[in-house]
Amino acid sequence: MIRKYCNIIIFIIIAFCLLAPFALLKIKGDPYEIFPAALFPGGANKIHIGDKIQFDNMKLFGIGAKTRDTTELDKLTLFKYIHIHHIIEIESDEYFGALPYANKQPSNPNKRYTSFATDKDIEQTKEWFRKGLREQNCKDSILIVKSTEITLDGKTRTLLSETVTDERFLNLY
Amino acid sequence: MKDFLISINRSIGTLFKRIQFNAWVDIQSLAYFRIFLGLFMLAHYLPEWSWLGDAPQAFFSPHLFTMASLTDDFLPKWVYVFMDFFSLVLLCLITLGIRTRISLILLFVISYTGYSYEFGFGKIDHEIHLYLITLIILAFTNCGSKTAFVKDRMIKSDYQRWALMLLCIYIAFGFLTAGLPKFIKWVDFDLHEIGFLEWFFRGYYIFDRTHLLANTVFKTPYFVFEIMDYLAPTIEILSFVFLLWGRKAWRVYLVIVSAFHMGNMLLLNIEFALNITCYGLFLIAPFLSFIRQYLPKGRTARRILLSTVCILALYQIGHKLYYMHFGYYPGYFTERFIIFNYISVISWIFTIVIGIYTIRYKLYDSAVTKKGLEKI
Repeated sequence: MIRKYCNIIIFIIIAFCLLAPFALLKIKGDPYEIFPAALFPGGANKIHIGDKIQFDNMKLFGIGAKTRDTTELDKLTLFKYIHIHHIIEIESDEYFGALPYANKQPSNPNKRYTSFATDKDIEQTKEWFRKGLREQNCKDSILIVKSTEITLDGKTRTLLSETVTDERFLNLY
Repeated sequence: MKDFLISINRSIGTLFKRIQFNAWVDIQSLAYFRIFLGLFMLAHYLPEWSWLGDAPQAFFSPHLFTMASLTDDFLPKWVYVFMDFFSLVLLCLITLGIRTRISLILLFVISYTGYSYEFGFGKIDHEIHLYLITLIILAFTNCGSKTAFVKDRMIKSDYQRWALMLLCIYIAFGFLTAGLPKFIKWVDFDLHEIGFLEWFFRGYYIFDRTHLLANTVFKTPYFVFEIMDYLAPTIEILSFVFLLWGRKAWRVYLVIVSAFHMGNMLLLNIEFALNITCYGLFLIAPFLSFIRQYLPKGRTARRILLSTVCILALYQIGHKLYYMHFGYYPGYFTERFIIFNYISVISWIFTIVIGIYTIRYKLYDSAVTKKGLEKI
């Protein structure tokens, strides 16, 4: 029986292995992406081209240890070896990984990060940031995460402005 | 009903045979490609995971269906250091052809584990998928049974046929998953909504992807990007058409997607060079087999290969020891990233040129290959 319909059986198995991860990703979203699976980068978003072109960005700031001014942090120095793709993932999370913001409660806490992190992990991560801030001559008690909106000129596509739309603080002590 | 099922079974069988025919690569070509893959990885693209050992644990957030979700934290640093060095050893064994099959399987397991934890920050990068799958697919071929220091026992050519077929289906379906959402959204006949520029502006202004030909995008009219918006997903969703069309068509498709990846590198500075380890199986392998008459043979060949592998391994060990001290990782915003871009472009040009040559002179249909094809 199995031999007689072996091609159909193999076809169904292959189709299931290919389609199930794709369907799961589309229906349930990114956290349910299977690795490895036959999924290549989709990224089907579009940008609106008008007189102005606008898109969001995230920036990190510290407070200068001597100057007391808000200073933009160099992400490469702060995150060292962590790839920019992963930094973006952490920044865009409402919790900043498993670290709670001092001035904002997340509307929908990301259980993925918090379920894995213990108090010890959080303290270790805070110490890691404190070190990074000190390396950039900033006070090691606070990390500021600013959401910004970049505006480009629609004709020349050059940078017109970058305005802050949201500001959050991480207390590191 | 029974007749209907039998006829469906027969039709699917014919379909499988057609894909097997189009995907076929002979053993000698695979053996040469195994050496190419090893040298390619040892020279530049060796994966590194030891930096993960210093990652803050509060950022650990693996996807549910990856290996990393089995643990609560990133692994201890020594595990990643071991994985780095063990993968180096395995790549040396694969290149030389010593216990190739088991080395490929072990390298797949180690790479899968390493990448699972790398993606534990919450994002799965797709540029390594084809490399990873190629490793396990090659383990089910006879690539280690020829031109090897310690030859593997030959397995039935049936396994090789099915393995190569599955690889081609994987590539084709992967492109379909990438192309379909883009095709639905991007083909909108609206010059004010452009998908390519969403990738470009974010990359240029946020990720510092400003190298190679990125600046030319500012001088290019919008309609060109709109055309690109239609062209790219159309190519991607046509993958199965080319695969089923024929042996030549499939290789033409792989040359087109190689050019597409190179375009991505030039304009968007997005790296996909690891895919060469997969496309090369169909584009570079037949060429290597073709030029074997000009390559050294016997003892001289062994000595050259052994010395090359030793030099590359020593270079990689030195490199790892030097950078391990401060957990360096090649991210963006670095001088090293710019050099990586150029190496990637050169690798793509090499693949495309060799691919065109392979297609032009039908090297994939050489005498050796034909023998294998006749059996399908």
